[in-house]
Amino acid sequence: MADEITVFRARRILTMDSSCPEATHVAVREGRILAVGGEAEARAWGKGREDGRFRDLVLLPGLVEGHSHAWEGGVWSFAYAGYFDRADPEGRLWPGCDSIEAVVARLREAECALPADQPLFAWGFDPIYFGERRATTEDLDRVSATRPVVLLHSNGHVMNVNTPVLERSGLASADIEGVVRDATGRATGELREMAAKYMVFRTVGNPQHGLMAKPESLRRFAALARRAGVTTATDLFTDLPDPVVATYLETTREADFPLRLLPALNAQSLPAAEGVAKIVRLRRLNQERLRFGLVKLMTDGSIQGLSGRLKWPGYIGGQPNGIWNIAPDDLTELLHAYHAAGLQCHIHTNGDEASEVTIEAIEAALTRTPRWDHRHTLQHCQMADAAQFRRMRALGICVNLFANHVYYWGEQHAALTMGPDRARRMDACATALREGVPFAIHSDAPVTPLAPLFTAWVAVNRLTAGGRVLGPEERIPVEAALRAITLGAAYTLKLDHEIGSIEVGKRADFCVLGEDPLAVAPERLKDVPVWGTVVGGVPFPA
Amino acid sequence: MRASGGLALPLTVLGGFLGAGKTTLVNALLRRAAGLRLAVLVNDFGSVNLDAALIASASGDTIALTNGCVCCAVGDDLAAGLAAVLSRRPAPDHVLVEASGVADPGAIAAIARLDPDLRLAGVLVLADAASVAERLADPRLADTLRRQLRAADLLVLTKTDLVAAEEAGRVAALLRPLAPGAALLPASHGALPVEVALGRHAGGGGAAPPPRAAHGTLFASVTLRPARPVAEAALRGALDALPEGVLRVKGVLPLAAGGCVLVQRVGRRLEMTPGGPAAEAALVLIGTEAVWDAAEALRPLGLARA
Ligand SMILES: [Zn+2]
Repeated sequence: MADEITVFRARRILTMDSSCPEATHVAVREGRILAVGGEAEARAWGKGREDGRFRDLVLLPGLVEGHSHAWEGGVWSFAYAGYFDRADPEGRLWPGCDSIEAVVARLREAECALPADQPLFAWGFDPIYFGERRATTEDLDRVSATRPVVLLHSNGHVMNVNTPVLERSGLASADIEGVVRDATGRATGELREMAAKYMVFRTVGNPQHGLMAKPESLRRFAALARRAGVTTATDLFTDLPDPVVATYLETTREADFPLRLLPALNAQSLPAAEGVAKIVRLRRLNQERLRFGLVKLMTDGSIQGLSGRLKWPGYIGGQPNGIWNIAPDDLTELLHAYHAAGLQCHIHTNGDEASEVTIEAIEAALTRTPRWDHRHTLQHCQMADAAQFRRMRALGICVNLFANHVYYWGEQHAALTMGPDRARRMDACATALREGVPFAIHSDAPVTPLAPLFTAWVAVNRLTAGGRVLGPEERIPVEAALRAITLGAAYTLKLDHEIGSIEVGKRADFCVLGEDPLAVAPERLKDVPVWGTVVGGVPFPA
Repeated sequence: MRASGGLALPLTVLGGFLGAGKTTLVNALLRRAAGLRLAVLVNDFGSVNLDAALIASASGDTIALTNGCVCCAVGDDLAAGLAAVLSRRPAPDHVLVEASGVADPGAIAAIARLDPDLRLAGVLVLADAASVAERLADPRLADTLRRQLRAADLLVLTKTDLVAAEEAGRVAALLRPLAPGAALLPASHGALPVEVALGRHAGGGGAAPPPRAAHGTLFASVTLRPARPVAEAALRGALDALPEGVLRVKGVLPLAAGGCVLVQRVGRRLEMTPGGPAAEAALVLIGTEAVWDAAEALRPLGLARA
């Protein structure tokens, strides 16, 4: 019933509301928070129905993932071949493949389960962890010598294929840069660059095609979110074609869909005027668990892919600078168009040159069209230095730092991309905190797993997968990290009035934990068990 | 292997930085390509500016023109755009891909080299004579620009009317070493004939171009016919030595060693592949007035004007 009050009682409630940081009771009505505090506050509106299931558990505001991709729910249609352990949407834990031999074994297992006429796709492979050893056709031919096998690398730009794919696509004999060859001139099956990828997909089909128009992909994304304590997540780069919009509208309307979804339109997929009109039109369709309105712009590539745009002195190995996805002048124009329309832009910047160009573009937009509280947000912003953070604060820019990089690629950044000194200041949460830049931290799922508590753990400890502390000065306190994955992220999405803390009037979205994240040792933060979530007052056990 | 069952579809890549004049050229080619079913893939329609009278129908990502051409917006999914073009019926005669201002046209050309349903008909890169030197001096832009120039078969210097003649000369001298595979030519306001841009004559669906310069004095073409089979090595040597003003060479010639060879030269990039119908043996040179001197230079091989 609409006016029924439910009172959740918990061991401890961490509200992120500085006027009432702790509570034991929260009353919920119509999916919103009616009262917070102790027994007295919760009863002030009348008795209500007591729900004691969280009596021994700890509540946090529902976690907010400010930079993820719903593709995380689609990609599990393929075999997982990543280096790290990872849980799928159904909760099955897939052990990491710590050798190419393990990758082959994983793919063989997947191959057996596949209908005869289908190509085998696998994802998440990253040879950066295997030193000199690369995957070859010999490896993948052992998976199948007849069925096409495509092993997608986690960077999205490189893949390995088996001999059937090499031959059917004509790439075996193609004299082209993206086809890697061994000392004898034979194609190894590793393919780079757009043209080779084009030929593979033309031969075996593009595995991504149509997947995000399937409700199942979105439901699986939401299942992963629920398991991670996430109640709001972005889908931070999509062309939003009509079939995908229709699926998003329909699926997020399902009563048991446990996630608020925020898609961000790929601004480079259409002219600015049309993009603005599209967002304005889509925003009218917004519903409780689906919010259009965000805009995404891509400036450079990735740092581990050596395609991020760096300032002097560039990559430690002397490699050429990265690539632009948009020319700086174009960025200025495009960003201004969305800015002038009153929209909020999320701008992918990995290298410090990309961050600088973006800060300049925002400054130019503000000079031309002054606007308060725009909250344009630099996404990733991995290499920004202190001066850039100060400039961000002065211009009202927010940042969402890719903290997970420190764990997953920290060693590689120190050794291969940035060198030990600049690697120390990557994803500089403490600098953001010191300089007063509103910030969030993120996973960029499926690049790394959707798990904000893990991301917070990285920001707090800055431990690499190799076990060293990388840049101890950039570690932040647990309280600050928890704020970054709740209210901090909500602020970068302009939803801090509605979610991100447990306050009267806000959505009754909670993350339910088995232990108190402020009581456990900081190095155990990632191991705090997630019971599940509450979305709009409805409990969703993991 | 070949999905279309017919001949490979010729593909021209149009590259160049923001403001270099790609849009002007695309619009001009769409207007002038009468008789040629040209399919143009652009990033978006934002810059395509067609007279309403020229538009037959517009739906979603495709604008069909009354002259048989189509213009498709592909966003950043070129692969899907090309697949759509390859499945169009009637099939286009030629496809022109407008690369984004920061794209490497060489990477797009690689697609046409790989896909047996496509055939690379040249990489055109435009450079704005008034601003390219300044951009090459900007460390944020220089590497992107150099990558584009390096990929060029034909390097078109645009907006030369905005700079003094000696400045245009200085810019050309700056660009030449950066585009080692290219022939350089000036052309402003999209004034580039279809024959030069695409390597084919608009009216006749790929037939020989008109016998004499059809577009004023700047561009000319000449058709040569072989009096006898040619020696492959001598032909290659002669073609490599042609002056820069010969922008394109194409045709089929009988070989002294037997069989025929298909010749395609764009800028300085020469491709000679076995095959071609002996009955249609001829060599077409397209370029500036230099084609007349070039025709003379090829005479010792037994090639003479038709
Ligand atoms: Zn992302």
